[in-house]
Amino acid sequence: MRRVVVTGMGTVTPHADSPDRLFAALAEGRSAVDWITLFDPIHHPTRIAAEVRYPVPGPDRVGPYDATDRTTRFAVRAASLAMADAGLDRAEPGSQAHDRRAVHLTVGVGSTAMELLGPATLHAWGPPAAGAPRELASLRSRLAAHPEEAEGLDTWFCEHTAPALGHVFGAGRVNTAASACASGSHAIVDAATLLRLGKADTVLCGGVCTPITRAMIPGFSMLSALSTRSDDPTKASRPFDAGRDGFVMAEGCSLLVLEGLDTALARGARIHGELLGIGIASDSYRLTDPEPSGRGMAAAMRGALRDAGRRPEDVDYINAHGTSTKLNDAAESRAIKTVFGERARQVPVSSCKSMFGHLIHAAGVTEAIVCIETMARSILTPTINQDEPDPDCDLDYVPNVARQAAVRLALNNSFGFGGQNVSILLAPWDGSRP
Amino acid sequence: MSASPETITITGCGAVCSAGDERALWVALDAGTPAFRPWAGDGTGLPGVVGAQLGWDRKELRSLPGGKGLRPGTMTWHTVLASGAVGRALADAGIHQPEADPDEIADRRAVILGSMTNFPELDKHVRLTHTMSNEAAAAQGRYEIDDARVMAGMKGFTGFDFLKLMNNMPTAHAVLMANARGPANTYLGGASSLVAVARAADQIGAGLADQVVAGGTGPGAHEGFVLARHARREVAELTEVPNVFPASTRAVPGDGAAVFVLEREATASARGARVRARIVVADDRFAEPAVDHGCATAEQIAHFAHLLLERAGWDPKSVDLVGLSGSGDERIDGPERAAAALVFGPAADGPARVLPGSVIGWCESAQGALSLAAVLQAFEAGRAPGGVPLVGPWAEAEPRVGSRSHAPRRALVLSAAPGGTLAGLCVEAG
Repeated sequence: MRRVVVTGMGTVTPHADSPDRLFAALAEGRSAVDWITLFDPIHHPTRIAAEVRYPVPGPDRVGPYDATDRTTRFAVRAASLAMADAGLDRAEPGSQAHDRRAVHLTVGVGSTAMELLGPATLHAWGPPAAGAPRELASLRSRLAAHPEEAEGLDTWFCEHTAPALGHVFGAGRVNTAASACASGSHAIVDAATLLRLGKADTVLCGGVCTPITRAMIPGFSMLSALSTRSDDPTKASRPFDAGRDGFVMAEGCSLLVLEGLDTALARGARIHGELLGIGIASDSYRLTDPEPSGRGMAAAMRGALRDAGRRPEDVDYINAHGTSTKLNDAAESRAIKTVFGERARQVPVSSCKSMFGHLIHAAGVTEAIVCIETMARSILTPTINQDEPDPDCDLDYVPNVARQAAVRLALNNSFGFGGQNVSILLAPWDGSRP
Repeated sequence: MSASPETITITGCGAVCSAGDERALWVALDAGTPAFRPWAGDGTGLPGVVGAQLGWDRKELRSLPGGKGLRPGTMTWHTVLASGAVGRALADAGIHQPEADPDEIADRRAVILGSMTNFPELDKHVRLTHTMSNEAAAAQGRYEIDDARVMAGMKGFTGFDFLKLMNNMPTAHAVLMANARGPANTYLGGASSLVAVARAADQIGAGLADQVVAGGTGPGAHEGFVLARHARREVAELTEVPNVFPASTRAVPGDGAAVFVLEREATASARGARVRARIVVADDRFAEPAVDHGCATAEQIAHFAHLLLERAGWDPKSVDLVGLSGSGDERIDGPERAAAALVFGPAADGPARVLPGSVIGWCESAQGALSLAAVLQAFEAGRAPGGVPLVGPWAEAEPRVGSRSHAPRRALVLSAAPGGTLAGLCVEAG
């Protein structure tokens, strides 16, 4: 089976747009959660998030594609950083390199297309206070007669970001996918599958999500999914802690360049790490709640171990999905115990979401980057805000303070709404050739 | 995992569209009867008066395999269509009680669907948009958001109004219907239904699953899509229902979904499943268009088709059917038509074109899968479809009925979408 390695990493996260600075912040236990600034949240049940608060440079157009929306801006920036890190230029269309490259991007809901119809609603219905009937037929008639007022609806569709990356990277295959919170790791799985099957040699893969909007924040609040600990933002995300009350929304993009080991060595690429195993499983239980025993999560973890030909006792560290919700964290802890047995309490488990919140479609890949940096630096990043133990979550979560430890095999978990579970196993490249 | 030269079979096919189910699609194609109709009452005000909507009661989902536990209230139209096709595909594959399947089968069953960005019904969301506006600015004709009014506008919403917008929801519901505990994923984009089928074949080939429920959903007649396409002048503004394939260079919006059960031949054989077809090769490519929302050129599509045929080991002369979009949108149809001519030579001698769009309109991301569904019906019927009376560019270039006298056994199905993705497969009758 063809071996798959990581040769490039690019990231735009609330902490920083470099893996080095991101990891340094996490190792310090620094939270990026703060009051929302993208809109005024004062009247919302949740008023905090982990935003990207620094300027993200980038062109307004990428080939034929508009790149001004936040999602595409983040993705183009992360792609440029990943390519630079990998030492890769754009492949020219028609070249063999172009034909053998792929982009696999997972994208979340992020646009505010409904707001862009605002002027049309005023034209159709007058000011809200006017009290005129708000019949959809009149709005539709307005938009039919003035199609330019519906142009904003285009920004709702998230399928245009991946083609823009296809231009940036120079790829002969471009896919957009979504599997909720498991998306980013799933992008890695899909990329690895293409490489293993010999359908590509180099894949730019990852996820982007810009969900901090006036609609999505209250929307997720209504699902009781978000923390309402707005009075103390840096304390809100507390995975595995008894006082956890939901996740903190975050935005960002992370991308990896994955290559076949053969291809990477042939061009003298620097190798950050190797993807040893992938595991995917579905709960087939409910739309939101994870299956309580963690059956699907355990199946994903076992699948990754089996794929890698490794045993649970070989794992030195688990980067948890650890969202800070009651149900996920308990189920994940149970699943880890199911897979690791007696050793479960000895394997360190930490959740970066305690510091950068839940990046949704970008979570898994960002956490994969953290795993790679963990192995390179022999430092375990902490799970912060561990104040009150939960009897249902009784593992070693590397509480509050980073720890030195050699990590030769890291397991990265990502579990999504809809019961989609992905686990990947990463290791430093051992220097052996294919 | 190892790449295995598995034979991948199609053992189930289910579709929902404006004509009805997959059999009704065939009847419409064969009889040459477009299933276009005036917009239903709640579609008043949309550009033009004709679409290919699916007039379907969501409650019908409950009678389908795996449908009992579904909650239609948690679904956007994307998910309703997908679920209808999933249920029909499971039934066609002889999987009538997936919830009763043992763990060893459920653990190796996957779901991969293609879709478009999930989109809400306009009603609540545009009223929220209106409610959020700053009154002082609105009085002056300017739209600005007053953040203090957002939560007032949210009254009447529930969390499910937002949960159902997540792009993986069609797949999440399909996982529940099919009792699938293996991999699950959703691809997005105009060609995504055939991308999903290609990835499903990869999953089986890579040993990640034995059985995959794969296909796509395309709510092209959804008001949001119609208005967004209309803003770009892509919608055919028909004033009456046509009885011929529209000569306009714009698409008639259509609702549709088509889903298949793919499985390794050994699995199908072990459970005595009927093999409808075999997938010989399936793949996708990206051909960057010259302009945003543009499509691949004829040369790019032809190149892709040649790649598929070469990998399948097929001489173009041996192909009996070619499935194309037939969308009515000349940005798509023109290159597809010209590509078919480049690959197969003069139309009179070439394979019959199967154009589902000619009867059910442009169903966005489901179009490729609906072409495949129509092809499978042609295999079953033992002949190419009669076809809709053609006018305009299609009539000038294509035969109405295939010239072959034997029952069709080989088909090339292509899907070229705005944005540049190409997907396709070579499929052989079972």
